[in-house]
Amino acid sequence: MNGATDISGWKHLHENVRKLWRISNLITGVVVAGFAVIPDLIIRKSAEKWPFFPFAIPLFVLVLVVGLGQWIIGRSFECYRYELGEDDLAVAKGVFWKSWRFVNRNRIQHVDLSSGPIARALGLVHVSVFVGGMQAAAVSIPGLSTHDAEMLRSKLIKASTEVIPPDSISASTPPPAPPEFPNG
Amino acid sequence: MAEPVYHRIHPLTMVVELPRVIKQLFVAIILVIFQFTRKGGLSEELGFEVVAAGLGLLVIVPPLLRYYSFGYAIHEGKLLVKSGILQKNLRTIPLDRIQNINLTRSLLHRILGLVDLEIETAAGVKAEASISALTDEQAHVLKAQLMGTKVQSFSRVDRELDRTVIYRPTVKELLLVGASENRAGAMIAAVLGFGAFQPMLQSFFEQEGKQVARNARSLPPAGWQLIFAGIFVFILIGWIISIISAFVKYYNFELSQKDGNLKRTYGLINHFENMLPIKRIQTVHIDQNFIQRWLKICKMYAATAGGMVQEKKSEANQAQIATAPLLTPVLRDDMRDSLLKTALPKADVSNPEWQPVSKNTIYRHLRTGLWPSLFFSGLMALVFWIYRQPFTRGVVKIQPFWDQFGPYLTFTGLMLLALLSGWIYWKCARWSDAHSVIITRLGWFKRRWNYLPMDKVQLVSVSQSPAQRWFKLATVDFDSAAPTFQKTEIDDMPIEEAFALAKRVHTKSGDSRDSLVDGF
Repeated sequence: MNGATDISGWKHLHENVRKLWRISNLITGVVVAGFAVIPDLIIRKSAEKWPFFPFAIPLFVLVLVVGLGQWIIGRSFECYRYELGEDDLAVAKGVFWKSWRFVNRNRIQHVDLSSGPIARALGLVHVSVFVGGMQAAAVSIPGLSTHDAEMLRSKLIKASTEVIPPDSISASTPPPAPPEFPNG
Repeated sequence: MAEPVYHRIHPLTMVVELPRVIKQLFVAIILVIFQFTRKGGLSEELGFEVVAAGLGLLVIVPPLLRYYSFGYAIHEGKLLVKSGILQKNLRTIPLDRIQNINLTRSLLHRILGLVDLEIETAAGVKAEASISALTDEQAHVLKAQLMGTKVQSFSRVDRELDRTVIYRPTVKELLLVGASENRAGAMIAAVLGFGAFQPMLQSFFEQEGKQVARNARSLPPAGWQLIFAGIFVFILIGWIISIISAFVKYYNFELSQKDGNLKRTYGLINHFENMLPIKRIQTVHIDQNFIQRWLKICKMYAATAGGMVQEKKSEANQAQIATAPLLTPVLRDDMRDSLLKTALPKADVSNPEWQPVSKNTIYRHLRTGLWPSLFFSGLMALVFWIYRQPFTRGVVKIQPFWDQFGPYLTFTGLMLLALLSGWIYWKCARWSDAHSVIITRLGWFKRRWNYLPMDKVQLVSVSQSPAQRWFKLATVDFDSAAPTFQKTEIDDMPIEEAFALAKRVHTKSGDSRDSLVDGF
């Protein structure tokens, strides 16, 4: 790392995420290669002399997408880390374009757990954390075991409600006075 | 528990709704009219009266249904809005969640003495509830109830007295701000946007464009001067429209303060009134282009969570009424500090301790520009190479000078542009995090100041592109809950500094309460 923030101690995603990513990359590769069949047919039909063997284009696309994808997935798994702190959640990700995101627990509006069919078969859950005013998830952790995800959610939500007592949210009671600001 | 008492909107809502319904049924109406004019069409079979009655019913019924099904009530600290006939809809909005309230009067509304009232919460980008066609008095009472203030007697004299005017631009200032901007770009965007909706129109434009190009090729040298004159006239028209629209839209603008709310009223034809609780303001922005810098005027924006999104320019007429997070369309430079103090009362932002970004940003810009420059010059070389091949039979002749130096010149030019943008960025970008407010200042042609109090920060992130990694730089982003101007970002800080700043802001924002719950 750059010496500024050491993420080597942060938690990894679940091991199975790699499997999930590899499978979905394979599916993507096959689908994209499937689309590449059409230009391949057109070109072979129109060209008088085709220098390569039949279905060379889809095969090339498949090798490219899957080869690159599988390589990146290995790196990506190493780079995708998260850390649940005392009052915050930090997520680091990215192989080429890196990012580190920090969310305070008292800013969390809601937490989503979701999982697709393959992820369910592998026992994985996708955790998305939402903050105020943003349409997309502020941070998301794409693969935790069901147990870890539940734990993470309960920890995040619990801390969140501790900061704002539920009775202060209801309309009938006025919210408590805000803390004093240093500059008056 | 007492049942809520629902109020009706004004019966004249049917008149006010008419234009909207006609707009929605525009295609149907055109079709019917078309049927009339056609010989042996629908009209001869059914007769004029039947068709006209059917059309009339189609136009009258929806507003009628809306009038009879719509109701609003304030009940136990909540606003209830019911609507719908087949699918009933009851919306409940806790009063303490209201972010701001807009009152709009179009010309028709003003003639009939009616007001449209819109309520925004932090939930979405659109208004959460809109109660159209209230009388002035109803709106006044409802607004006071929603704002949780005591209902005072409805009298224009009183209304004139019970507020503190903060800023009222002079006509000269309004004209100046219109004159320092140009709507020519917006006009082009509007035409393009219109064309996108109507492919026929677009193809017409394309054909015309081809014709223009064909003509241009055959034009004598003097013809080019004509084209430049045309462009000049176009820009001039855009300029005049800009002046007029600023004047019409913001005529009689007044920003005043009352019970912790900022109130804006403006408009020559469509009258607009907006109440904005000061504690709901998430971020404040100031825009100033280089002409305005010279004229010593600027524009100030205040964004709240949810709502208040400026509508797209293509819907030109709607944009006049649409809410914008604009705090004032024009502000004298010397008034800036006092208005900032009003909008961000807890912060002291008058003397920011400006910090520069890393000087390496110039190299970073060059590095980022390298690949696109290589790509475009390579593409140019490739195209030229294809043209030189025998099978093109010399369809296009490239001038020898461009053939020889074109790609190199393109590469150099693009890299120089990257260098220039990097240099301008380094020269102009400043940031400060003193006094618990993140302040950034960016840009030269159009300079923007962002003010984001740390307790309004929702998310802090540091990111690094491959080019930034090369020079050990990073970008720091701060997201607030305001959907417009959500991001306040500082590009190209040294990475250690970036993480230190992120950590500081993150810790500070963690100490403060949830800015959405209590409006802190």
